[in-house]
Amino acid sequence: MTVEMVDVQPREAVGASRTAGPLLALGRREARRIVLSPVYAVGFGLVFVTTGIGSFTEGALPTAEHVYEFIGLMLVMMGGLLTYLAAHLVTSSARRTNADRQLESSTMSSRSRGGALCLGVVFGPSAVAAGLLVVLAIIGSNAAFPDGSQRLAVVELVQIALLIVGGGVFGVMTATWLRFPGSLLLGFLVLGLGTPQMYQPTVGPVDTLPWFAPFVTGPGFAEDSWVNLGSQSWHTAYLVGLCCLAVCAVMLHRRVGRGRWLLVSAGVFAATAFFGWMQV
Amino acid sequence: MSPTVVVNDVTKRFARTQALAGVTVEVSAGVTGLLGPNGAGKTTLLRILATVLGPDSGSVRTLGLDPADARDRTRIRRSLGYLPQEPGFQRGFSVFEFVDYVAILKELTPARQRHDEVRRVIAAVDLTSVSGKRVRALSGGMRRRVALAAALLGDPQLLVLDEPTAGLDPEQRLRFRELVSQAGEGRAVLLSTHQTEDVAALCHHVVVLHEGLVLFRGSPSELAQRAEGHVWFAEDRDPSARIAWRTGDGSHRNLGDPPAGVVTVPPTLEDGYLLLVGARDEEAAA
Repeated sequence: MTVEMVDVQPREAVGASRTAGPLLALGRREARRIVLSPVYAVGFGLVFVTTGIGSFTEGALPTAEHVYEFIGLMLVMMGGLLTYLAAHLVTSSARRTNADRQLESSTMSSRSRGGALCLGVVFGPSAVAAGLLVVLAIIGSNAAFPDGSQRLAVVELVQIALLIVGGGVFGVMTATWLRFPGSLLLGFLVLGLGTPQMYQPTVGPVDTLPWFAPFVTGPGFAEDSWVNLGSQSWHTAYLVGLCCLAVCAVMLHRRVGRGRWLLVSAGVFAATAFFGWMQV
Repeated sequence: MSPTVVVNDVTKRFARTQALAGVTVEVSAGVTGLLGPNGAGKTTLLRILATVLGPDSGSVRTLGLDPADARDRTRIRRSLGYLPQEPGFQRGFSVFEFVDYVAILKELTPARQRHDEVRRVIAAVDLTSVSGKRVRALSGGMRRRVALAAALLGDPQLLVLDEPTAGLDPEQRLRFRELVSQAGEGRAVLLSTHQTEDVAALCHHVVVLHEGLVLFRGSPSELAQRAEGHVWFAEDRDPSARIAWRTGDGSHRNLGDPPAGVVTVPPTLEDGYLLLVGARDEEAAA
């Protein structure tokens, strides 16, 4: 038997790249997967059926104020939770379907894949939400609100966008670290029940606790009794810090090169703690 | 010419199970078959060669590189295609989307070049007509071909295939055999299988693993020759046979030490394999 011998020196695979191109390409692909998740269609469909139709059918046609209120509430109340669910399901899909067996020998490391999923959250649902918030700002600037406080400030719109980013990266983080079937529900309960618990207006020495909840603190959403106790800008920075902490947690899952990410995480943690302290 | 893969005295243990107990194997260009019963350590060895697992002891050199080194591992992965046992597919992916997704994970860019490569490998496994279909809507054989297409991305120098024909019907198996044969031209292919016919048809070299040890290394004909003089037909099961079964024409094919005077027949690779593994099991039982 004759066997054709090959050169056994490794060569670069066809088109192989060492730049950030693959990470961005994967980020875009994950963004598409997250945005197209059926979770959004089901979740927002339910919100529309339960709240939207009712408010729209009260008058002959929905007013700009109706649309403004509906989009705003939908994004605030459901945006983060639904993005959490979609991001978790996309992150865990390879494990749930055994596809990870084929992917684990790929050139891109699990850390890069986690990073791409976080990028996907920014590229996908957050970009869509940002678009909706711009629409909201345009409607808000033209709508005639009887009560001026219903119009959301720019800082509140930014906080809403951060809720959606935060929900997504929290979903990536829980799916990365908690690799068991109940982790989706567990994270959902933490977000869905823990956040409202923290957000309750309280009295006494812990009346600043709501400011530490990952939620919007503007007067459009919060109770007036405690909203003036802190700074909206610092709270926005605090939310950015929480998002970055979740991304760091995703990066820390892989053991190789963990030391560098521990340093980064320590820095992010310190900054987030500082922002949290400054906000109140 | 040096071999593509050199595995030297590799061991691997999972809790109380010794999966590999000092395996030494070389893989060169062409198709190398890896035979062995369930639990022999085939999948563990393949996962080590696919750089997914690291050995507890011993050394592995792939394409002259050390998979234990992170940079070398990345270089190996650029030249490696791996088809795991029972590959899974995420919901919602079409054939093109799945292979393209794996292509991104293999860091193939830019997009146009990557899409050309995806189309090339889909055509190589003859799935162009269904490239827009959901993977989960395809038959088992077609899904294996999708996974093979993903493994072929980037024209790898080493292809590691873990039981690619398990569970396929005869027609699909023959189709897959043709694809593996084509894939083995000009590259090293390591094929793990239970199907001795596949090894006989495809492989220039065969390794038999049993309980984490290499029982045999050589050509398929050499493995078959192990049973030379040990296969005979009789009307009934011969008491001296280690293994015997009734064939379609009613006679019994006996494997073992033949009684004096019987006429032996030329053995097959399967005969050689069964005698080899059977003898080992008898030794272990004794």
